[in-house]
Amino acid sequence: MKGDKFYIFLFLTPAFLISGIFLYYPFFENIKLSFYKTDGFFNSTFIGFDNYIRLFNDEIARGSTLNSFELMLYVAIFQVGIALVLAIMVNSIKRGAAFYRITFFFPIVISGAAIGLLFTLIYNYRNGLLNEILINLGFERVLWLTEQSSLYMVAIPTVWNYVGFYFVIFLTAIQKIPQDYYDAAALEGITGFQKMMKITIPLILGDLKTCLVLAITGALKIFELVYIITKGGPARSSEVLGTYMYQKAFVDSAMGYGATLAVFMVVIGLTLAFITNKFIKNDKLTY
Amino acid sequence: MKSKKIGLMLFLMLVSLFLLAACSSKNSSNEQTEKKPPATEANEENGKENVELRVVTTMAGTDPAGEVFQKVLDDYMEKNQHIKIINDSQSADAGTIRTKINTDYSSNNEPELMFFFNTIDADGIINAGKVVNLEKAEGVDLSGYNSMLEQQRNKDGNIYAAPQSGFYEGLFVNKKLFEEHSIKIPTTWEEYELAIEQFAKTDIIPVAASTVDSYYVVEHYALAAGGIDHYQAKLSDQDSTWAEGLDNIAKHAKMGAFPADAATLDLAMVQDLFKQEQAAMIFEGSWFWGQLVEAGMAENVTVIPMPVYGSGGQTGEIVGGSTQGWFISTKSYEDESKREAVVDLFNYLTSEEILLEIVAATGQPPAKGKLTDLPEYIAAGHKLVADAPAVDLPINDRILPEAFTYIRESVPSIVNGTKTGEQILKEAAALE
Amino acid sequence: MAEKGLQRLTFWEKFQSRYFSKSKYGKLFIYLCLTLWSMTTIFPLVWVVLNSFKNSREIITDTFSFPTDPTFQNYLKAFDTVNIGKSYLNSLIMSGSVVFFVLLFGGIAAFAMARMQFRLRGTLQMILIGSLLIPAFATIVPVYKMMIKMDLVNTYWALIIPQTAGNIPFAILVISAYMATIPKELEEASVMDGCSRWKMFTKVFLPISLPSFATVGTFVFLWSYNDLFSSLVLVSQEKVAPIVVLLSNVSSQYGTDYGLMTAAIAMTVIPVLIVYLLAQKTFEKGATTGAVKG
Repeated sequence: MKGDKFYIFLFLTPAFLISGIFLYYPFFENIKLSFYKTDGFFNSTFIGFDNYIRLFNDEIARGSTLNSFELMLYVAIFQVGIALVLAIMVNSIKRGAAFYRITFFFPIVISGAAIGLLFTLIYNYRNGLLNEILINLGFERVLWLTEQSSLYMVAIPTVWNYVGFYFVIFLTAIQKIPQDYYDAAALEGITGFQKMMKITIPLILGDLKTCLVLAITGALKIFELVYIITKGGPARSSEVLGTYMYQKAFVDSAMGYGATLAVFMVVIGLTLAFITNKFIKNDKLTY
Repeated sequence: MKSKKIGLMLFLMLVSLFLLAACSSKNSSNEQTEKKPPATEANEENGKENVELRVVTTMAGTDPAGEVFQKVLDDYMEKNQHIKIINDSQSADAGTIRTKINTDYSSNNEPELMFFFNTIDADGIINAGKVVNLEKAEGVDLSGYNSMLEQQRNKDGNIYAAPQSGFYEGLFVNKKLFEEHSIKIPTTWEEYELAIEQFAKTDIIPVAASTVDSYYVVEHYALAAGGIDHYQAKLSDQDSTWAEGLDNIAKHAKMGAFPADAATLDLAMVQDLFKQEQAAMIFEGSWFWGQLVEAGMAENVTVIPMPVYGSGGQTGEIVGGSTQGWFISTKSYEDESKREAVVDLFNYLTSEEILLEIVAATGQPPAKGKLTDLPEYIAAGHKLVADAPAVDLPINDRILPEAFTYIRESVPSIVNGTKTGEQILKEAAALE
Repeated sequence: MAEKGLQRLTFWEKFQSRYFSKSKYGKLFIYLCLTLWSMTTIFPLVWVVLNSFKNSREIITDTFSFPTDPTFQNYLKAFDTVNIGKSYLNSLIMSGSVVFFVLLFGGIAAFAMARMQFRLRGTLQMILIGSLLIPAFATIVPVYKMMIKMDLVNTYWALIIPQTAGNIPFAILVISAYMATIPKELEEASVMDGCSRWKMFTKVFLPISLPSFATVGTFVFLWSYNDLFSSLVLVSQEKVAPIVVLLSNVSSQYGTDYGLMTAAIAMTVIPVLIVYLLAQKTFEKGATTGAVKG
């Protein structure tokens, strides 16, 4: 359209100006820090790529990265998947839809500190809910958080906690599909599952892609629940990049290395998002 | 069409300018909040110039001293109408205070007074000359302190922080549980191991401990294996008694000394096991008494020193000391308009009367004077300190934080047999 | 992927026509699933609220039972700790402003990203995705330093500006995904009517995308409002502190006050739920607008 250049500039400038100054510039400072051995304030020594070399030889970082990938997989499949199914289900009913829309949102509004405490009290060996039930049924106590199981045990609350987020986005997206599409489909005898595969999902593919990108990026930043429920343990078996970075930067005052981990997170996330983008090609579908 | 375009552009530019202007101009920021009283404006009542002082402390959150501290400040402001104090305290548990303080000091935004950790945490600030040497500061009164003042002395020989109170750590034991199971409260290492063995056979957990948040466990096991001489070693020495202590933790874990989920428990959950009388012993600090009183079991509990078996050491040596103190920022001291007020407030807060008033809320050993009317159990703790042949700071207050975290979080790996204490020390020392 | 879907479809076709579409069991199954899930999501809220009426000890020892001896102590303490009315107001002003600026700047940028063609589109998109990955921990120190330099610490702007910057990328991505699928005919029709791009945005795309704005607004509000970390650094003083700062008061070396924590959480949750309910109303309106134009 004629004059578009002007509008593109006009529309994009405020957003990128603010983000540029208060998000990208601080992150640029962070990148600078990653070349120093520093507490971030008073002691700084320029060490070139040493932090990056350390990163590639750091067993804990390697374990955390793999754990983050595993969590990402669960988040992408189950969090997004369950949310999509729930959204389609809620969209298909008339009675009680408002009730589900509200209740599904609950876990997101409760702060991570509370959800973390809740699951700590569920998994706790001596007095936890699960073991209390087992004892009452006449079984022995089970150690829920072991080196083998801990990652699954933190994946459950992590996935569950944010299903409501994608649910709301999907529901918003699904509701924009005009009813006449479904009416036309119904005339041709397309209903139920077929309707979902042939109409709903193709028409919200763009939103689905966005959700996957959000899930991948979100999964890399997972921090609070893991930190509270397992402390990354036992023996670092559930350490993830988010907890490791927090520990380095804020517990250990190793700002330089913490910054390196942050850069690493962004690089991995971008790579994966790039792949996702290539993988799900949507050809600018409109109705 | 054209004019609309321009109007629209103007509108958007205005909005973004408004935002950016808000960032850069000081006037607009003041519209948002109350106008700060300028330091030069004279107070009409007494002719003294108005001063605003910002005080940062860790006395906040559930710290019982927090409330008293605010009251003490209010009293002071009542008496000194020209001084306005902003209490910017945050609990150290909130995790942001360290970042905030360091950023403040490195951005020329330091508070006038600060009550903070005079440990490795403050090294950067001290080395940069951001706080004053109290012994050289004019008008600062450092009289009346007990030995805690000397403990604050920096490596360079100066004193930058004036203490308020001290603390001690030790083995808290539930006397009632020991009695019920006819087990002897340990005074030697052998008796300690015996107590573990005997409690392990019962439904009671011998020692409530976290092996991931293993600060106290690591310290006390190192102390037990080497006595205070080895305890004071540098990390770079890779002292073999430290390694032995770490291996002892693994040995005791196999004996069933700790909770089954010790590798994921946080300190609050560990404390809870002890408070629910599901565990007989716990390594804790003197700040733990408040919780025990609340749980209604303080009378059943006593605190004993960790039994030391290492040669050269003796039982009775404890981990403790005084690690927090009042700092005066160099910037405020050199500011003629503030110096008098800052020094006066400092002297007020560290005067024996006020100091005791604040410390009384916590029951910690004070750095000046004496607390009276103490419950028996707290007095016993103070006696523990008084009788100790040697007291030294927790290990994590003097070694590189990264290295200590590495040791602490590696304890579960020692327990599960993938690493040895010696290996962990070597790897931790390599971080320095 | 498409072929796979078709193959599966044949199996599903039989399955679903037998059990779902034609019978009542299908609906029943759906309601069963939804109800089961909603039970898991209602549970934590009920848990928080019930526990906020217990004392700290009971919260750990009898966390999953009804309070035997309900107490208002925790709420009284919360009222004591902070100036509740002022904190709610601070929260509302700051998070409300963040939502406003994010939707304004993010909305127009999303429109440009979704409906206009330009060379740097792909690059900008990658930058946006990259910004989602930047952890708040990594930017807080430089941001705090900038705020100190601009003398904005402990003013509303100190929180509004960085949170706006942090949430804009999310808003652009989600809103532009929504706008991307709006029919091209609408765009063309408005061009025929002589609409400028700005008019096209305000008269066509904004109304249709309202549900998406509402969704993004809800989450931005939620994140801004729940952001304890930034709040503690940038706006910790009482005159500007948001309600969430209450949560920083629940612990210290002297122990954790779980009673105060649950009460604080119960109190912080209420405004967010109200915002969500209001936004839900927009959803419904938006949905009907969408239907009308078809």
